[in-house]
Amino acid sequence: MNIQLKPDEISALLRRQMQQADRPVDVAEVGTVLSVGDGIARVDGLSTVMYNELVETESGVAGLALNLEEDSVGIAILDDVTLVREGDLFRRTGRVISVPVGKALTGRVVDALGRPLDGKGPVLSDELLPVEGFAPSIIERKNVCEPLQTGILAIDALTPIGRGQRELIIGDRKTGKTTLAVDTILNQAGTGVQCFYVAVGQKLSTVSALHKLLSERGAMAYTTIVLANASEPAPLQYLAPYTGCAMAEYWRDRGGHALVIYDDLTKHAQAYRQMSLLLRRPPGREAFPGDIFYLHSRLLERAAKLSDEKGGGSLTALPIVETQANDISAYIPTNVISITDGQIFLEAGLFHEGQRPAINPGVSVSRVGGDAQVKAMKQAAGPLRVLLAQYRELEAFMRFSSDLDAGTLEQLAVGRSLMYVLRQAPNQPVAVHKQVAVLFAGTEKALVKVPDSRLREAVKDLYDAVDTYENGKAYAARFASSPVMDDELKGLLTRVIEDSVRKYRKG
Amino acid sequence: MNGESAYARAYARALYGSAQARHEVDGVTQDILALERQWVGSPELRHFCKRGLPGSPAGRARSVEKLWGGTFTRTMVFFLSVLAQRDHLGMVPLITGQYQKMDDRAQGRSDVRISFACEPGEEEIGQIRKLVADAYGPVMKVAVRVDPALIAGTRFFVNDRRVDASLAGRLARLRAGLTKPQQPGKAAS
Ligand SMILES: Nc1ncnc2c1ncn2[C@@H]1O[C@H](COP(=O)(O)OP(=O)(O)OP(=O)(O)O)[C@@H](O)[C@H]1O
Ligand SMILES: [Mg+2]
Repeated sequence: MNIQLKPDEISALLRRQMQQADRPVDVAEVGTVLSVGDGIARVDGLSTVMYNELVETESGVAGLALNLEEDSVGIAILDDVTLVREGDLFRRTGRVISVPVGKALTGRVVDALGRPLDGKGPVLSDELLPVEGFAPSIIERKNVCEPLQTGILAIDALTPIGRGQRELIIGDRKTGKTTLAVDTILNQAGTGVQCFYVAVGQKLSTVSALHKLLSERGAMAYTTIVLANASEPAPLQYLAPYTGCAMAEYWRDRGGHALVIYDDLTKHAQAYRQMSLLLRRPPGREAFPGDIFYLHSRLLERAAKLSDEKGGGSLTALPIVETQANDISAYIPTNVISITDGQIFLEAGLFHEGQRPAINPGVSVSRVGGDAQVKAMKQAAGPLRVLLAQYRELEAFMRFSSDLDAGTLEQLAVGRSLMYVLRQAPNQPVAVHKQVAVLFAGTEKALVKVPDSRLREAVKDLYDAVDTYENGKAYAARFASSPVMDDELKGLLTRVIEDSVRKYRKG
Repeated sequence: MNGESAYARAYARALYGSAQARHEVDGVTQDILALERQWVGSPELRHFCKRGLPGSPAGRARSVEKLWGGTFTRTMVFFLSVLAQRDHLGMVPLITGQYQKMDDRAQGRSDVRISFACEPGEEEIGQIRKLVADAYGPVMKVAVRVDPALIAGTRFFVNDRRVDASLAGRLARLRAGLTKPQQPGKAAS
């Protein structure tokens, strides 16, 4: 920095700081550390401490009071554990854990306590919110009514997400879960939706690659990353989702719109399990403690679309859960499925066949987002589910029989072209009017005559056509003014599709 | 918490509970104080308790009867013979400590531990006694010690509450306050 300070300014500054920091007498409620190990301290004293209260040692190590027992308190240490020794004193702060919120967080990478990790200096925020906020009550909410465009055709068409919804992304490892979430963030550019990406128990390298991508694409202008990577103490990993949620609530409660991604809740539950076992809580199914359901329900209940009286803000949550061998009946997946408003199921098999994003349309649902879907998209996507279901059935049937009639063959071709339409490269979200164009081409069977080998090109050309062809521009303009699939829009669209797809048909 | 002190707490709680049930809290508390004095005063007692009394469980219980049968209340003798049978007499100092804490809490007696930087006068101790009495009531147990590390002033504990009016503490707070990143809103005021 290039600021010239005069000596008397420096001394004035120092004097002011000293005045604030100088307290001749200090009264505190304290407790003595009896034992410490595995990130948990047992403390004698602190008899009036509250559940979830922040406590501190003399040297400033933060802890979270979790187990309030008759004659000792179990404290999860949120810092370097080696700084706490037997005989140290923890003091009450009288605050439940709170984190800085607001505009100052935008573009930052912070830890679960809101402390900066990106070397860009302190987070200059005046406002704090408790990490354990209250979920809005029923009368404060209203039904999801505005779309949250992910830019991923398969999702926006089949499992549309509305602002305020909780939609689970679930699948085995390396099936493109994070990519879906990140693409959704990329697609929020210019929408005013504040994005929060909470990374729990991941490798630092993965998150830094993601940070780089978001920065390069300008998405950090509206995004905050909350990071508790795999090497952090379990209590910080446990806290991180609540921290991200508190930061998002700031926007929700001011009439704004926020999107939080929890990547992922499986690792979150594991961190909580580790903590609970160390706190000697009785283990239950899969060794998880009994309150594991509450762990995630109280987090996801904070996602909401608020009523107009409450400002109409929204908080959309996209939790991610990792499965083992596609098993969605394991404990954590079933719990989270039952809490969310639907799930997007990614299948390793599809992923390896090259069907990416590997969304299985048969078991993916969105229970509330349909009401919020853009009209034209809803109309274009109407026949999609049925066509895909027929295709899957026929495809299975085809394995047993070789002689198929012409009608069946055509149905298969339609299905195949639709599956192609649903493919999308990573990090390339698509605007909704283009999605509708390509989807319409698929369901109206315009792509049937295009050979498989040229489908990819044809789809790409059609995306470009909407931007560049004269008819395409006319269609886009009409869509922008009224996105309803009436005869006029259909006419315009059919012409763009003809102009573009013609080049790829055989014969 | 390590295993020993958890055990000791459980024992102390059991003893306190049965003393209450038999309306013998005063007697047992006297015994506990006497036992503590014996423990401090008698190296032989410490030695035997830590090593474990010789003989079978029943034999050990008889030894306890011989040692304390005439002097202690029945509740206390029974308690000690249970300890002896289980070879837990080595925990006596932990148990007496825990018992007294429980008793203090039950009687509403404040546990006051005062440290002074240099040898205090009666007046200084009296001041603190008065402060505590005003806030917590007159019943208290006071321990005083000198701790030169405080540099100047005093620091005292009343149960879980710590009042730090020492120079060392003031310097530490100043240091912590100055090294903490400044929040803009607060720095401006
Ligand atoms: N639509 C896609 N098309 C092509 N490749 C993709 C697509 N989506 C994801 N991938 C690639 O698949 C790999 C795994 O993706 P991603 O990291 O999103 O999966 P994940 O399920 O989050 O993995 P993890 O289990 O490690 O969290 C990445 O290399 C990514 O580039
Ligand atoms: Mg991932």
